[in-house]
Amino acid sequence: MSNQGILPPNKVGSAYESLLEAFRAAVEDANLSLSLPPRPVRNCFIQTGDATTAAFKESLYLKGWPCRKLSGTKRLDVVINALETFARPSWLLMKSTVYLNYFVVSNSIADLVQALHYDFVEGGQACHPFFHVQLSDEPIPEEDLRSTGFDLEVRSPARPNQCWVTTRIPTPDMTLASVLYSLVADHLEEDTFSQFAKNVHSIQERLPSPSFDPLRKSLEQSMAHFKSSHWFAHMR
Amino acid sequence: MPTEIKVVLFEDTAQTQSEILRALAKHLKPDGTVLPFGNGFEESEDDKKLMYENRIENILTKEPFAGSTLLVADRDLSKSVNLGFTGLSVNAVAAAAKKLAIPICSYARQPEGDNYDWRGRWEEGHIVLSFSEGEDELARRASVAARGFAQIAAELPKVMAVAGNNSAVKILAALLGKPEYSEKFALYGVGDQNRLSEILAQAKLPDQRIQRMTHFLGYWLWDSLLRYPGLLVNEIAAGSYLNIAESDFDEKKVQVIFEEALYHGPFEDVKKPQWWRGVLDDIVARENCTDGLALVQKKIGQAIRRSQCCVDSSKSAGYYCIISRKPVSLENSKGGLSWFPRGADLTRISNPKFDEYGPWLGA
Repeated sequence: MSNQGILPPNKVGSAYESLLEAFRAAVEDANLSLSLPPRPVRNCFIQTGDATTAAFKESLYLKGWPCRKLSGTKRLDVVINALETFARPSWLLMKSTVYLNYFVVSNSIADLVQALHYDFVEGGQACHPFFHVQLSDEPIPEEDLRSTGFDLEVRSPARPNQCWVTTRIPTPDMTLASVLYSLVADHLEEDTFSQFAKNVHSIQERLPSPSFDPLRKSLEQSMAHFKSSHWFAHMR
Repeated sequence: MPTEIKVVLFEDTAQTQSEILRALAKHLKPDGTVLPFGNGFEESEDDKKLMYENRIENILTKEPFAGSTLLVADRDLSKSVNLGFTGLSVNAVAAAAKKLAIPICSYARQPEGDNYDWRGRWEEGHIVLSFSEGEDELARRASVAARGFAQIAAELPKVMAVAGNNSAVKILAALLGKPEYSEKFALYGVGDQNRLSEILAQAKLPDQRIQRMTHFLGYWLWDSLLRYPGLLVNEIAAGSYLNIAESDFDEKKVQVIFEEALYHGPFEDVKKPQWWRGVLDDIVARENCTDGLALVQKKIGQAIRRSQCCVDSSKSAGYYCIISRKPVSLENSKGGLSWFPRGADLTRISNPKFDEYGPWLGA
């Protein structure tokens, strides 16, 4: 990844900008704040070193994210690191990896309590569910973490590899827009989520969507059947 | 709303008045006229006892000044006895203009043009023009402003009649023929309290609604969207964004490539063109190029040079320093200041300028 910028078509650039502005509005509606690196969203499109692709790379820091389980002296911070890759010149989505790190913060120490990433690769991967999430203890790279304004000392899990099992769990499309959608639904008030969902509806139509033809065909062929074989349809 | 443009000039020095009137008349031809304030009006004895802003308000609602498109006023009206008002100030004229929703431009010879322009930028409520380049350029810019407001006023009734155009953002986006950019327009409204009182002001009569909306949208467009690069980009910001050296972007053969993105709308100024940033993106992406430089080099040749950051010429620019008006890189500048419209994501202040003016520029 070169980090050299690339200009996307307006439809793609403006869709990502609108998505993140809608997310910011939801966060601010909840009296919370969203920190992003200084680079404007539309300038987060980068060259990949391969002339046939381009990527969108962005990190987000959510401070004091509502969490009922935590006592008043602790807070939950979430950092998101997204990398979505597109084919050029079609600008169709080929790959998406969205990392999430959840930190419980107390006395300026951030304990990494959960790490996960959502994955999608065009055409699918052998023995991987087409769309999936993988739980792990993998921290977001230091440079990406700090670029968001995250300035806490990070404490990794006490025992290395504490997260022994990193099962890949099938998911629906969990590209960046869906991840933000779920975060708002999970943590913010219903009114805020309803407004966000309304705002994002038209934006999602403009975002480059992943191609999932094998999965779609599999589902269409046996509508009454909603079992695991669908998630591996790309391997048939 | 009048379709013919009528400009009223407040100038208290006879010689200057005559020069500016002549220049304005030239630039307003064939669809506009200019009248000097100070002649041809009558006031009752009761009116003469009112505060100046109320007197001027009354005068401007009567012939020959009724239906004015734009007021152009000297900042220094210390010789206003010549206009029949001893001690008149531009503030009283601006206050009357605001009440009547008539746009106003002001100008002054001193201090230096750039400083004055900058000082004026913090004085919301009227357009600040520089007199440092002479009366002809002043008149040319004033006529651009007058034509812009007249164009908005002429087109607003049909835009506002469309059922879906129910907010200032949608109205302006429709007026400029870019409804698909509504979300970006909206980002120029976030936190803009300067215009809040105007958008909240309710007008009862349809003609007043058009007049108020013209006033509001015109200032918003001139003062915000056309000033802070993000949705639109001026010549320096466009070259910087496309990664093309300033002098190379000036070349006709380069500008032809991006002609489709040129802004044509209210306040369009052939001497100070602007481009739609989204259309620039599409022109580059359509040719499967990484940036404007790659596109221009592909079409014209390798002689075209990359943009240079004004702080560190070894770096490409990409952004625009709104104080120095030079291309600047992300690393050598600050952005997202609280007084920047949120949509102005290409507007920055170079680090040296920020260090110089820091405490006054805010965070």
